[in-house]
Amino acid sequence: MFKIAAADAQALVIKIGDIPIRVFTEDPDFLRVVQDRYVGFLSSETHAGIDLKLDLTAPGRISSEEDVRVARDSMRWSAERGDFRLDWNSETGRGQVRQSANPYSLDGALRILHTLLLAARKGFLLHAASAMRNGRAFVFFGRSGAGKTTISSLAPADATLLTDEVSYVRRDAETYLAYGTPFTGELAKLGENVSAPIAAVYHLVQAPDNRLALMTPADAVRALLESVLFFAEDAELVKLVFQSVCDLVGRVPVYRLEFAPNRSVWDLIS
Amino acid sequence: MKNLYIARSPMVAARQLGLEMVIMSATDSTLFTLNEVASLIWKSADGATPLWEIVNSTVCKEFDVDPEVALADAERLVSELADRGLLLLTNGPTKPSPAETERGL
Repeated sequence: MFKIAAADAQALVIKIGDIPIRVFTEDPDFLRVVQDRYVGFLSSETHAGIDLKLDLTAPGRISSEEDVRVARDSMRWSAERGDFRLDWNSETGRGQVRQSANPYSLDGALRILHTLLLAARKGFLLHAASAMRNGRAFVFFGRSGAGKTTISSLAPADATLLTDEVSYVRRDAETYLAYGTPFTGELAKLGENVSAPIAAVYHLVQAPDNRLALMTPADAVRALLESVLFFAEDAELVKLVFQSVCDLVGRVPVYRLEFAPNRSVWDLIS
Repeated sequence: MKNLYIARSPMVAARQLGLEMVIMSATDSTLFTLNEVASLIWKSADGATPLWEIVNSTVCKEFDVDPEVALADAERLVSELADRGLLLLTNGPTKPSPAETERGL
């Protein structure tokens, strides 16, 4: 069971996708909130390599930015949204998040930080649900309303939900893994903190009947790129993400999955 | 346009997928797709080979097409790609040719 050591009474390590991030705060009450929020994704590792200090402010707007804005100045990254500002140095691994005592602001900052970390590790975050069954992962992506939550809720009892909202995809040797994430959608249910090789990727399209069709590589890349979560206007990282998506498509079949909202759709998924 | 040279912009990422070339502008994440013929030209855009030579040695070799028509089409294509920031056009080579590289020039 995870315990906070006395010396680190105001820190905890959140480990998502095998990348541990140590979070510090001077507010023990908020630390407990964070601990509850990321239960299942806490690690006993003490040397995380990536440190984030939470600089808590009074509730209110931190930035005038409505959407996420990510900028880079050499090794220093900054990300702003109305409710938080993240500053992070990719050389030292240290940074801080200015936010109110709201776990959803930290959630936003962590998602953005992971997009940066993953790009350099041959991975990316995808606006997608994913589930694990018989040791293999299945990823379902599509625009809002395409059915990510629906197909997650229709999953057979022996399937393990990795996420219903943000899939964590990362290269591992000759394959790609999907990791569980605590980033939730409408199900508001944390994914399980496990990973598995991706067996197939499905582009969700709601339809009257269930139908499966293999996508051409070019169509698959185009569709996937529309669902990749990446906010940094940084040419080198954009190139890396593009190459990772192409690489995934070269290794894993991508299907267009037209589906009606009933459990029989899972008969097509294997 | 006899001395037109083309080079791929360093601000793009590209991958051949099947017969198509998918290109992403790294500056604004815009996606482009080139068909088989355009892909041949894209792959040969080395900044060292004149466009007419690229057309002759790739497009005209692979397809039954009049060289002058092919060159005119290619000039329109590379002009459009340059307008979109994907290709760099110059009136002289920007890199040594493969033969010069081999001779250590």
